[in-house]
Amino acid sequence: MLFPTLNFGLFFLAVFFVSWALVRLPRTRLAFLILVSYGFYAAWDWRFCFLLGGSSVFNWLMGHLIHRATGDGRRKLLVSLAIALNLALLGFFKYFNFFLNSANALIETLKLGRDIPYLEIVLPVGISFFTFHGISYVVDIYRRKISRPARLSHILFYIAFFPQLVAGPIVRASHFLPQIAAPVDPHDIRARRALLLILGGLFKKVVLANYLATGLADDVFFDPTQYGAWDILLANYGYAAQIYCDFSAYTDIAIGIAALLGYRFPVNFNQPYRAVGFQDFWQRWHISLSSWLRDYLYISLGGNRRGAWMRYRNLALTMLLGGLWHGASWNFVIWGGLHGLALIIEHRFFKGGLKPATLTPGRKIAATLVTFHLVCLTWVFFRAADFGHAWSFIAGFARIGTAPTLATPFNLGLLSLSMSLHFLPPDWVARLETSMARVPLVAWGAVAGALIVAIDSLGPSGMAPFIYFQF
Amino acid sequence: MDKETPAIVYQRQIETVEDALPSGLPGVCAAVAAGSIVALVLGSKDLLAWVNNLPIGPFSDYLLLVAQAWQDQMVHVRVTGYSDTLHKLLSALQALRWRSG
Repeated sequence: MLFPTLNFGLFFLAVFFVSWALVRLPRTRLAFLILVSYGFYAAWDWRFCFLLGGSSVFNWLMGHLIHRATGDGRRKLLVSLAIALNLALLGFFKYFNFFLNSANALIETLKLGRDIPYLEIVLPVGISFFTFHGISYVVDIYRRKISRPARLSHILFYIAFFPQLVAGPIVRASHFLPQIAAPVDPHDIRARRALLLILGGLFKKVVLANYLATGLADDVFFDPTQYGAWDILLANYGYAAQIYCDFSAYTDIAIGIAALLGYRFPVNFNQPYRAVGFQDFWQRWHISLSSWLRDYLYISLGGNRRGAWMRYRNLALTMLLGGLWHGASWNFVIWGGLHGLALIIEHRFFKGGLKPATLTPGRKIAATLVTFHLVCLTWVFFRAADFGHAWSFIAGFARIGTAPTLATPFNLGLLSLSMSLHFLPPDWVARLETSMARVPLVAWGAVAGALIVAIDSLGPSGMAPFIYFQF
Repeated sequence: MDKETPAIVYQRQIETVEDALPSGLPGVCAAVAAGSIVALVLGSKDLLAWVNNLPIGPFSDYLLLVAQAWQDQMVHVRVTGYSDTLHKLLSALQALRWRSG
């Protein structure tokens, strides 16, 4: 059930009205929201509801055991076991065949004998996200960020809450569990901002991301040998804009939906292509993942506590694993490795990383342009089907003499519009909301209804899934 | 070399809606209802297409009749041109090409 579909629209309307009708019965409301979240997940494959429920119950039990354990050694052992089993679950579904494939390639190279047989494994939607939610809970209990274990119903809801279930944002247990424990306030619904986020998200996904994919990126990445350097460059820019519009659209809609139901999610994007360096980029792109990796992986590895070289090692490991988290492919490892390398270089030559406040306007523009183009280059490995396609794409930059075929007014307009979102004031949504605060909320709703139909009319027929669903 | 404090301190997670204006439940319900009605009026064609794709059965047959009647009514009062106009506008934009020579 994709967000920009009538199926989801009707589902959400029913959930919205019933959940608020139950506002005076918090336990019933919570049970209802858990039920509909599992229903939402079952729309992909009902069998994986058992996996989702099993993962939630397991983490709830481990939370209790860690909380009750006496002695640091025992607590550490239990949290390590919880993390290992969470990662084993993720590893089995997501990486089993990837490592098997790599092992078979090695066996073939070394001529060691027969291949190891493959298993038919279907990847459960959102497994990377709900596994990270589970780990967040047990680690937050271990680090005493949560003073006592949560109720089972709270954990079931925290992990399965449908707006963030399949593609984030990754919500911390220590951030979200207090919201579940407190009653929702029917006098404090952030509806205007929610409507703006939902409408903006729908436009970014249905119009911008879809046409950028079909008009610019998909064909060129499928067979880069057919295109010259200018088309390759446009497709590279196009994919950079597409993935931003696609993923930030999902996040915006998820945040808007959660807000309409009375819950608050963290910021996940902050105009990432304005970044002046890679450290700045990761403070603007998929913030909930980068901060998760920093707090739960990078710091656990030792962070920057044991000297420069250990810091570089930890950065490289964090980014390599962050790359692999995205998908079971060496392309994602290369993508993560390139980001890790860029971060190491930045830390090595600019103490503490490049920061916008410390740069002159001219240097800021230059740093932004360099960072954007390097990020675009890394997207090639993220998007290409395999290393051969990525290399073929990069080799296409040498075909300078070929005339561009994709530089139509429509494609260039789409690209400009997508990128212009980065050069609005960072708080432009808040400003828009404030400037129209006097307009009655019911009029906001009516206009939103008209705009939703308009966005749907502007979109292509059919709807491609969000890119991050595959992770 | 900079040092970290031994206790792990999480940076506060900024919420997208934390500085947003609050609204009361009655107003929000009215807004969602108004939006749904407007979408139902302007998007009657999409509704009919959606009902057409439902699994065949007595209830979906009934829904199809209702959606068809609703769509006919909306055509009659001339509100369905809105989405068609936008679709045509987008197709025209897609067909634009630079003048050669």
